[in-house]
Parts: sequence; structure tokens; C-alpha cells
Amino acid sequence: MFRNDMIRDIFKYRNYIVSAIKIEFYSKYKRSKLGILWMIIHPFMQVLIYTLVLSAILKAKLSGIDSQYAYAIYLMSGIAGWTLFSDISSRLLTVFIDNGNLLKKVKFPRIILPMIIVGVAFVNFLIMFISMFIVFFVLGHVSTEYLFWMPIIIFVTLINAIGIGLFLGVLNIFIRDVGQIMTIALQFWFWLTPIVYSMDMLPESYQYIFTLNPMTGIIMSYQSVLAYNTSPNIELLVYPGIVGMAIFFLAIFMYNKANQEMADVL
Amino acid sequence: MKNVLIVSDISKSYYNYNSEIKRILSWFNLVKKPKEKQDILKNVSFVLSPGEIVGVVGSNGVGKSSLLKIITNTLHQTSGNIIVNGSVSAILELGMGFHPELSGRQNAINIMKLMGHLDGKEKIAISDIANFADIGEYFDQAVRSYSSGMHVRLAFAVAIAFRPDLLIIDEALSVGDVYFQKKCIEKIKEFQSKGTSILFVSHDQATIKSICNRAILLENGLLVKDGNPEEVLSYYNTIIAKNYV
Repeated sequence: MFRNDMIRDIFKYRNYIVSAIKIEFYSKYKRSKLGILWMIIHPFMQVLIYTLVLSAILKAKLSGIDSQYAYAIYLMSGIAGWTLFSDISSRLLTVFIDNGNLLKKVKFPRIILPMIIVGVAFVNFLIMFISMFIVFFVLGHVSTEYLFWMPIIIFVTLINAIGIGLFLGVLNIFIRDVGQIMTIALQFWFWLTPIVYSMDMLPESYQYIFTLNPMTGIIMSYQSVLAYNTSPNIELLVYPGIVGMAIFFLAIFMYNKANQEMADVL
Repeated sequence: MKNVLIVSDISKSYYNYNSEIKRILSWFNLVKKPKEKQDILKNVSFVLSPGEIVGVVGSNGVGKSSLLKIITNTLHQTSGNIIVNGSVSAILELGMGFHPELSGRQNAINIMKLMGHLDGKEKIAISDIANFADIGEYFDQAVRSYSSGMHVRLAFAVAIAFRPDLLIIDEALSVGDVYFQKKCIEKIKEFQSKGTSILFVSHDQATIKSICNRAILLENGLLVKDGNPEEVLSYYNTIIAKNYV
């Protein structure tokens, strides 16, 4: 299903992909005085707001986390994972449409456009992740014991995000309603995933339905490692892993089919 | 000598799916391709030998641009074969992919990477580009501050930074001042003498007559005439005259 030339193209254009990611950040901050500092300030402030508002004012407590900032820590862990997923999937949704003119006129392997988006989102995620860790440390919450799980959890997140984003991105070229629907669906999806609330707040009979959502297991894994300082429940990662792989390969198949007809309709 | 480009029996049709869902289902072989289609190119064949400059003429909408896009591989043919022996460089739309916040130099490097030139080579080419574009200190300023003429100069300079075996030029020369146009034509002739073949789309009949060795005429997706420029252009002019009566 993977065409060899696809992997070869990615390898051949690796320098371009890296420099395109740099350019994306460079041109975004070039004309601001603080420059790259903004890259850190934004996620830092987001994290800070959650901490102040949700801990000092709401004083919410969660069982299992021994900190006055328990709820903020829980929330931030989930939001970090969700942001990585939603950033990639929502930008892949329009990647081919946004670059339609370039695709029609310059010959280059199209697969590098999604690669750039994944790269940019991943750099953003890393920065957010690190600033979150610094805030956690300041709050007195240190959860580093199970960090070795993160690469696996991130990998499952990426597989799902790329799979869904690419699948819908290809459909969106031909049926533009897909983009509109997905933008709305992502908001519902956020609230159907235990990010703001936790699974045990739900009636037991409903919990099973929520685990059908692959993002449930993924987000709960982030929360396990980062907030509860435990290893994630492997069962909760296997299911999203399998679902993600299936969607990912379907997306690659669709992409290869659409590759021939894409330029006709853009 | 080996032909640089062999176009054999190229056809391009756009299928009219009455619903886009059917198009997607057809990828999974769940529905058949529709019978109703729009033909853009019909059985076009020609060859290009090294050092030939061939003008492509025809009215708007006869399939010139589609043909060039198929040759550069940004569009896929419905049937037929294309063989290119060597490298291809296309100037289809000047300034495509320029980033307004980057300087001319940074953009030049970036575009060369996008065109697939390996690392290191583009650094050698950059002084040639600066010389050819001849835009002075603007070369190191953000592209958003460029005039449209400077934009064209930079884009053309990047496109011809490496000598390809096949160069495709689509209406690109009509922009830029007389001095720069002359410079471009000199460059084209220099490439030709080194063995580059050139496909040149233009509505400027005088330029075609002066630089092309051969011309092909497209009419409603068919290649109707292939011969020396004088002959093809006079045939084309008769068709135009006939259509106006």
C-alpha cells in the first residue's frame, strides 16, 4: 500500500521539509519585537490561565493527585494531547485546498505538504509540553517516572491525527462540506473526550460508550503519565492504536487514488 | 541523438461525475467511471530532439496549458505516454511559492529545494541568480517590498539557475521590461546551444518566429499542424480569420 517512491520522496525532500518548518516559524515572528519568545509566551500563558483560574478560584480537587492544583494539572495534561491531535487533523483538512495553486503549477511530491504540517504542530507541541513541565515543577508537581511512555503515546496520537486529517483532507478536495462538518465535529469531539471532566464522573453504564472514542484512551494515557504519575492502561492504548493504523492506511490508499485527480478539481 | 521528449498519443478527459461521492466510490471499484466526459486533449503526439525550440500556439482554452502540465507531471493524462530523457524545468507561473516575508536570497534557496535540487548545489547557484536577476540590494530584502517586475526577474533567474534538458516556458516572457526580455532570450539561446530543448507557449507571433525552429498548433485538443513557425502561424491566422467571418 505504501508506494516506495513516497518514502523515497520524503527522504529526498527532507531538507526542504525541515527548512519549510523553520520558515513557518520564522515568517510568523519575524516582524515582532519579541520574535521567537512568542512561541514560548503563548503556551505559557495558556497554562498559567488554567492554573490560576481553575485552581485558585475553582479550588477543584481530583482524587489521586496530591496537589491543590490537581484539577489544573489534570486539565493541562489532557489539553496538551488534544491540542496535538486537533492541530494536525484540522490543518490537514485544508492542506491540499490551501496549496491548490502550488500543486497545479510546481512539480514536487505532494506528500511533503502534510509532512510540514505535522512537523510544525509537533514543534508547537514540544514547546507547550516543556513549558507545561516547568509550570508543573513550580507548582511542586513532579511526574517524571513514567515519561518513557510518552513516545508511544505521542506516536498513537500522531497516527490517529494524520489518519483522520489526511482521510478527510482528501475527501475535502472533492466534497467541501467535509471541512465544515469536521470543524463542528471537532468541537463535539473535544467535549465527548474526558479532558475537562474525568471518566469516573460519568454514570458507569455510559463509560463503555466513551471508550469507543479512540481519543478517550489516548487522552487518559496523557493524564496517567503527566497528572497521576502512573503508567497508562495498555488496553486503553491498544484500541486507539489499531483504529489509528486502520484509518492511517485507508488515508494513504485514498491519497494515492486522489493524487491522480487532485489537480483536476483544485 | 536521443529525443529529449516523446509525447505519444496523449489524451486528457475530465469525467463528469454527477455526484462527487461516486468519484470516491469509484476508487474502491464500487461504481464504474461515468461515460460522460469532457475531452481536453485528443491523441496528441510529437517529439522534441535536443536543441530544438518549439513554439506552442493556439487560442485560449485549446489545451496548451493542460499539455504542459501533463509534461511537467502536475496533471495526469487519461491515456497515452510521455517519456522525458533528462531533467525538466518549468516556468509555468512565475513567483509561485515565494514567501513574502523572506528575502529574495532566502526564497531562491527555498524554491530550489522545492524543485528538488540537492543540498549544496543551490549555494553555488545563488550568485548566478543574483547576477541574472540584477535587482541590486533588493535581493536581500523581503519579497513583499518588490515591484512586480523585480518579482518576475527573481523568479525567472531561479527557474533557469540550472540548465535543464527540457525547459518549458508558459507566457512568462510577456512580463518584464524590454531589457530583461532580451536577456532572457539570450539565456534561452545559450541553453539551446548546449543542447536544451525548449517548449515555448506564447501569443506573441513575432517572438515565436524569431526564436523557434518549429511550431505546433493546437485546436480543440487536437494537434492540427506541426512544422516550421512561418507555415504554422500562417495556417493559424487563416483559421482565426475564418472564424471571424
